[in-house]
This record gives sequence, structure tokens and C-alpha cells, in this order.
Amino acid sequence: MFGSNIKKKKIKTQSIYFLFIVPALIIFIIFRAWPIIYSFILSFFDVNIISGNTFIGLKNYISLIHDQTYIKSLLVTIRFTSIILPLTIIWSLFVSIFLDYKFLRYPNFFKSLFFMPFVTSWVVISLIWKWFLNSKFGLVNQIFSILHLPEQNWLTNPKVTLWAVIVITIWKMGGYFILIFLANLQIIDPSLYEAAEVDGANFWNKFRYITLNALKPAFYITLITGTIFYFRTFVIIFAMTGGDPLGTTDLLAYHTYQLAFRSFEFGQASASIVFMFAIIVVVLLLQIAFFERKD
Amino acid sequence: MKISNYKRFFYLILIYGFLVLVSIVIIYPFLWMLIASLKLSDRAMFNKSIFEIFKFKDIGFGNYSALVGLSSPPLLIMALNSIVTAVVSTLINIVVCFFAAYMLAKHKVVGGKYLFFFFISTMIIPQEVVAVPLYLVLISLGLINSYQGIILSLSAESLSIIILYRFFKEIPNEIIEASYIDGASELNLIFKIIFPLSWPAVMGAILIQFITSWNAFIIPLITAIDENLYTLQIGMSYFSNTLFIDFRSIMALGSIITIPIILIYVLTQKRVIKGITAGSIKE
Amino acid sequence: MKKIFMCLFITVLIGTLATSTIAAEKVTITMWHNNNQVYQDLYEKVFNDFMAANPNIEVKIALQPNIGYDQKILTAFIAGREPDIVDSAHDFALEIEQKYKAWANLDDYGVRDWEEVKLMDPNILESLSYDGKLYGLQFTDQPLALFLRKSWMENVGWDKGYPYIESWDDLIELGKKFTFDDPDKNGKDDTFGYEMFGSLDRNYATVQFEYLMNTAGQELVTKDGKLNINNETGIKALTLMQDAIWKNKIAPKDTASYTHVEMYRDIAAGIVGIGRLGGWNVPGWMETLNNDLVAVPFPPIEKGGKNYATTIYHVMMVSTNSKHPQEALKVIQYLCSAEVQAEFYKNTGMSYRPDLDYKKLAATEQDLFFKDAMLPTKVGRIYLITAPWWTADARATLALFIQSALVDATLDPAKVLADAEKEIVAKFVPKT
Repeated sequence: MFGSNIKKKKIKTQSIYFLFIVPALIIFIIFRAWPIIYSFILSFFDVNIISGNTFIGLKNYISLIHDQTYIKSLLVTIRFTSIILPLTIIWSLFVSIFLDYKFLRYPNFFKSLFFMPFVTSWVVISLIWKWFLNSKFGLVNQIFSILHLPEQNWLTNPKVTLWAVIVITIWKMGGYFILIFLANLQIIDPSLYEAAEVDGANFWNKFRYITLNALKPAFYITLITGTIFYFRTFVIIFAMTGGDPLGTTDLLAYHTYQLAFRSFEFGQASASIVFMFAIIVVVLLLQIAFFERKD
Repeated sequence: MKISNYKRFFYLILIYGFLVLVSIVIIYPFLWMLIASLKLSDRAMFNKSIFEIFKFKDIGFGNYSALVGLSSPPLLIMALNSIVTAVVSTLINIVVCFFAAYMLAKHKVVGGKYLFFFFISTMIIPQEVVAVPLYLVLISLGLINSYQGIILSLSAESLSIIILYRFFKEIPNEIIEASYIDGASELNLIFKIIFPLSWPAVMGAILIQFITSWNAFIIPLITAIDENLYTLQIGMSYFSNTLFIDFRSIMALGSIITIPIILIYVLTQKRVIKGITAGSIKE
Repeated sequence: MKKIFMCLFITVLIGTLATSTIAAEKVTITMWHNNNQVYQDLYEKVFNDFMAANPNIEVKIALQPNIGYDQKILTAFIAGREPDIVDSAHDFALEIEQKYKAWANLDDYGVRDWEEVKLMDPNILESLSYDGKLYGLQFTDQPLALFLRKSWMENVGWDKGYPYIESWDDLIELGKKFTFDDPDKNGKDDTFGYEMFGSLDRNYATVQFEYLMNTAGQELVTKDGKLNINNETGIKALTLMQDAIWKNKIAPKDTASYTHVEMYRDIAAGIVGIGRLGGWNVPGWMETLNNDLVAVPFPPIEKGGKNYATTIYHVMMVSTNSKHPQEALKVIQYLCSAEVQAEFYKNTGMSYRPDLDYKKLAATEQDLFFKDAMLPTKVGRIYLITAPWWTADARATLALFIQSALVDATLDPAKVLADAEKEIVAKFVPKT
């Protein structure tokens, strides 16, 4: 008798708990999770807006694999991510070490300042930098010529445009990673360094065994969140390069958007989304496996 | 560790120099945008000298008034749209995430671990990727081309849950137990004690969500078909693709979009930084 | 009593039926266009007159932004809220027809018997047929020309008379003067002689190449459906584009990233000497550049050759799902009438009708230029021919090749076009 009462009470309290969670659940399922599942379903159909969908199995996937521009977009995205992630780490490491310097005054000012572009709008940034990269009148080339460096065609030289996108992206997002590195640096116990010195360690040894070790979580987080952030790169391509020149900046997110809203191939776009989702999950899992295996 | 004063001085000069250089690179684009928006002739821009822009010629608010005078789409309506969508989506997001995070953090919910994992995993799906199928989903729900569609789509950001969850986890359970003993009901507890206590975290989440919604681009892009629903961000991209609107006016629009956010950021930096890096920094 | 009631009842019944039929007869036609506010005001004005004359038809005209016009129409179709009539540029209308067969077959309504349609250029009508279906009617007629900066010609001492440039070599020579001889006399090196498109976005690289081919009298796709890019003219065209950037340096190095947005930006800033001119550009640029423009036809390759011009046009289509196609066509017929077209020409400089008194109607010299110096009797017209296989994807493939020559000065245009031809034929042209 008591048992059933307790059970009833448990169900009652659990229902109350759920009641509070349900609104969030509804919103996230409808506007985040369901679209992905819907993509998955749609990817097996030839989606014709006006005359209806027809089931075509794996044809969309096969079309994508045979589509040279899609493969190129995939390669460009891989290239982009594999350059920008290490670059982000190196840059954040560098700057955070400077900011951690014992005798530096006003580190918080710099911290906040470097983070500022993170909270600004990508559209605005893209349009400003697009002008800065103008071959003739843009700031970048003007500075290059002052420094006697060779001027570049930033928006039309297939070899450099992606680099420009990378640098601008780091300019905007770098602050976030710098903060992560800095936070991890600041909790290192200085007595560790002293003890190491007593043991006869030189600069590089200290750096390798103490600093880098302590920064492992920073590397981990940077890789994980960096991958997720950089996979989203869309607006800068949309507003600044349009994938030009010759598709060297045609990142997957942009290419998928074009498939859907320029070519009206919603079926293929859905397949592309499934691809993207799979890729990002695999990459994240690999990163997690790599970092968790040591412990 | 003793370093000679000279060495320290030298390091400081090097480091400061570097940091100041980076600071200039960070600030300059915004400064340039502001100055360009106040210039009334193109001469300063279409110029090979980098100092031309700083000369005190041809200055005025003409670009701003030109923006206001545009009728299609009207600046005021776009500004209103940006404000409304950002404010309402933030409200909805914070409210639903507050309750969800509190339940998951402070109560043993059946399947709570999986639910929390579900919320976090939605962060992996960038809005930019979800936009295409979301478009079709919104059409089938009849939410395309409506305020509700934009607002609800924008409010599905799980960072708030993470921020609030971490904060709630740190509230000592004794406080909660004490209120139960005092006979408080659940709602009473939440509103009278938890909410005031968690105000800093809530504030941080509000700021971040507002900034995210304000800067949102792809969701409004695909959801807003009618001009009257355009937000300022879409307007910026739209204008830059329109004929006969010059670049300086676009920079004026960019200033209108960016300056409020920068002001908000300057006043609340610590909160914003703390919130966005929640979960990334072991504190 | 019963009889009275009966009469009353019948009267009321008839009355209700009558009013409801009248009410039911009131039809609403929605129309979209993506031109500009000038057109919107014009449309509203002419439609007010139309509605006064046709009280049972209500016409709602909406101006849509250029960006995402296609997406908007598609979304409207999906949601079942598409407009009855769409006014758009031809290439976009064709794309939608190719992919979705969204437009009504106008032959089903006998439009070819209209007086208005009999005045339309038969070549254009033919190009508005796809897969045997006439899907649109011509609304304007916009041959493309070139503009030159008048004052610049004076400043650099170019003293030839109209048409100022008579060959592609002239174009390059004047372009060089406009680039290097400080034509605006401001002591700065900030001008470009000639500007073009080159971006992959919206296949602008193909558009530019096609433009040059057309001015030399060649279409990219011939009437019998063959690809026509790898020939002497094509090589000359691509060479002109490539050399303009790298050898002659009269076009910006960023040309490969240029859409009309960048080109218009430069022109409006007053730093361009020669560029493409369409009728719709005239009012805006004349104002921005203080009337310092003169319009000329694009020159032939060699002096003495014939002038050709690309003809682009706006088209009106009726949605295949429209509930009131008869009324929609009535509206379209009204828009094609002489009075309405004259009104449009007065305010926009564009109309399709060959029978208006343009000398009287033209607002500026440049407007008259398009109706006088660019007449099909004086300048050969090239119509954008389509074959079923010449889809947006095919044009995108060509754009990739064209752009590659624009970003790499070492590529040989002849080889680029040969490779392009090979690829397009292999991927798109059906094997016969």
C-alpha cells in the first residue's frame, strides 16, 4: 500500500520535473533536432517543390560524390580546417603566453579587446575586410607596399584567397581561444617552475613538461570547439568571396546553401547535410578518442 | 627566479609592442567603418594612400540620413525587427533554459543525463547547417515569413542551458533543503531564492543570447521572405548587393549594427566573457 | 400573403445571387516584379487606371528585392501562395521553367493572335519557348551598349568623332589612356579604363564572355543546339578579357571577383572610363556622373565590321497554378498596350514596342540612343538562344573555365576554350 503511494508520488514529482523541461525540449527538438532528421529522410528523395517528392534511394549521394564541385568543396573544407586549427592553437598559445607575463600591466584590457570582434556581426566584418582586400585601394595592399612586401590579389589569386579567409576568421574568433589558453596558464602553480629549475631544467624543458602539459585541456577544448566553430563558416564566404576564385573558398556550409537555394536541389542539399553531420561527428569522436586514451 | 631589470624591461617592450600592434589590428576595421560612414565623398576610399581617410574633409551625417530616407526596406522597420527578434527570442530562450537547467541540475530526473547530453549535442549542429532543412520545416509548419518563425528558430540556443546548469550545480544543496524544511513550494523556492541568487549567470546568459540573436544572419535570411521582416543584418547584405547605394552608406548601416553591441560589450565584458567560455574553462 | 412572401423571397434570393455573383466575379490578381521603386510607382499608376476600367479585377503589384527573388518565388510556390503574374529578367524565368515547369502555356490562351504580340520580335518569342511551350511574353527591350566618359576623352586628347571607338583595338587604346593618362586630372593614379564581370556567382564570368561573343555576332549556343565557344571569335574574346587585366592593365586585378555590384560601385565612384551600359543604368549614372556619359554601340572586332548587340529583356509569365489565368492575361495585355508602354518608356527608357514615337517620348539623349542608334536595322541583334541542355549548371561549368583564364595570365585562352568545350560537350550535350 505504501509502495504504490510512493510510486504515485514519484511519478507525480517526475512529471512536474518534466513539465519544466518540456518547453525547452519542444523548441530544441522542433528547431534543431528534427530538421536534421528530416534532412536525413529527404536525402533519399528527389525533392521537387512543385510536383512532389519521389523516392530515389541513394541517388542524391551518388550525384554528390560524382559532382566535381562538391568534392572540391569537401577538399577545400578539409584544407581550411586543417590549417586554421593548428594556426589557432599556435596563435592562442603565443598571445596567451605574452598575456601571462608576470610583469605585464593591464592584461585584462588586452583580453577584453582581443575578444571584442567575437561579439560583432560577421556580415559587417566581411564587407569591411572585402574592401580592405581590394587590390588597388585596399588597406592590406597599401600596407604591404609600405613594408615593401609584394602586393597580392587577395580576392582573385586562387593561392591566397583561402589564406585571407583564414586570417580574418582568426582575427574574429581568436579572442575566445586566447581566453581559454590564458585561463589554463594562470592556474599553473609557479612553484612547479622553481622546482624544475632546481632540478636543472632549462627553458625548453620547462616549457615542454610543465606549460604544455598544463595546457592539454586547452588544446582539447580548442580542437573540439574550434572544429564546431569553423565548420559553421558561412557568412564570410557568402558576403565576401562567394566561393571565388575558382571555388577555392567554397566551404561545405556555403556549397550546401547554394545547392538548396541557388540550384534548388533540396534533395542533394539534404544529402550534403547528412555528410556534414557525419563528418563533424567523426572528427569530434576522433579528437575525443585521442585525448581520452591517455588517461 | 631573478631576471635582471634590463632583461625585464626588454621583454616588456617586446610584449607591449606586440600587444599594441595586435590591438591596432583589432580596432582599426571598426574605426575605419565609423570614419567611412561619416565621409560624404568617395575620394577618401578610392585612394591609394592610407592616410587619406583620416583627413578632415567632407564630413557629415549625410550617409545616415540617406539610410533613413530609404523606403525599401525602411531602416526603421529593419531596426525594429532586429530589436524585437533579439529581445523576444532571448526572453523565450532564457525562460525555457532556466527551468530546464534548474531541473536537470538540482533534481534527479529520470533520463536526466541523456536529456542534458541531448541539449549539448544540439550545439554541434551549427545553425548554418540546420538552416536548409529548417526552411522546409518552417514552411510545413506555416511559420515561414513570420516573426514567430524567426524568433522561435533563434531561441534554440543551448549555450544558455550550459551556463545556467553549471551555475545551478554550484548552489549548495543546503539552501534548497533549508527552504523545503521551511515549507516552501517548488515555485516559491525558484522565484524567491534561486532566481535572485543566479542573477549574475542569468544576466550573462541574457547578454550572450541577445548578442547571438542580434548578429544572426542565416536564419533570418531564409525565414524572412518579405522585406518587412528583414533584420538589420539582412539589410546590410541586401544593400551591399543593391545598385545605387554607395559603400559609405553601407558602412553607416554597419555602424548602426555594431556600435550598440560594442557599447553593451564594453559595459559588461566580464559577464559576457565568463558566459561564453562557460564549460570551456575549468574553474 | 403567401404570394407576397414568395415574391419577396425570390427577390431576395435573386438579389443575393446577383450581388454574390458580382462579388464572386471580383478577382484579385497578384503580380511581382524585381525592378525598382520607379517601376513600382509606374505599375501602381497604370493599374489604378486599369482597375477603374475593370471594376471586377483587383491588381496587387509588389516590388521584390533582387536578391533571393528566385528563392522567394519558389517558397511562394511551395506554400501555395505564388503570384499570378511574375515580371523578371529572362534568364531567371528560363531557369525556373527548366527546373520546375512553373509557368502556364500561353499558347493555350491564343496570345499569338494579340495585336500586341504580333508586334513583338519573333526571335524573342522563339527564345521564350522552351520544350515546345510558350511560357512568357516580352515586356521590355534592352539592347546592351557601352558608355564612355565624355570629359575624359577630352582630357586625354581623344578627338575622334562619334562613335569614338570603332574596333576592339580602339577600345583597348582608349582604355589605356583612361587608365594611365590621369583622365580626371586629379593628379592621382586611381582610374580604370574598362571594367567587366568575372565572378562565378550567378555565372557572371560566362555572362561577360557571352557579351563579348554577342557583340561580334556570335551566340554561345547555335540555333541547332550546338555549343559555339571554341572558335576564332571566342579565343579573341577571352584574350581580350585576359589581356585587359594582365597585359594592358586597363581592368582591375580583382575583375575575377566582380559581379555587377562591384562594377557599379566603381562606376558610381567615378573611376571607370568604359563599361557596359543598359537602358536601366542611364538615369542613375547620368545623375551620379553629372551627365558625363555618352553611349555608343560596342565596336566590332575590326574596323568596318558590323555592330552587334546582345538583347536582354524582361518577361512576364503567368503561374501554372494561377486560379485566374484569363484575368491575368488581360492585365498583361493591358501592360503591352501602346499607352502603357509609352508611359513606361517615358519614365524608364525601355519598351518593346517598335511603333511608338520615341523622339517625342525620350527623356534624355541616351534614352533615344537605345531606340534610335540601337535599332535592329542599324545594329545586329543577338538573342540569347537556349538549348534544353544549356542549363545553369552548364553555364557554371563554362564560368569556371573563363574565370581560370582571368586569374592566371599564363593560361592560353585557346587551350582553355578547347578544354571547356570538351568538358561541356561530355557532360551536358546529349549524344545524337
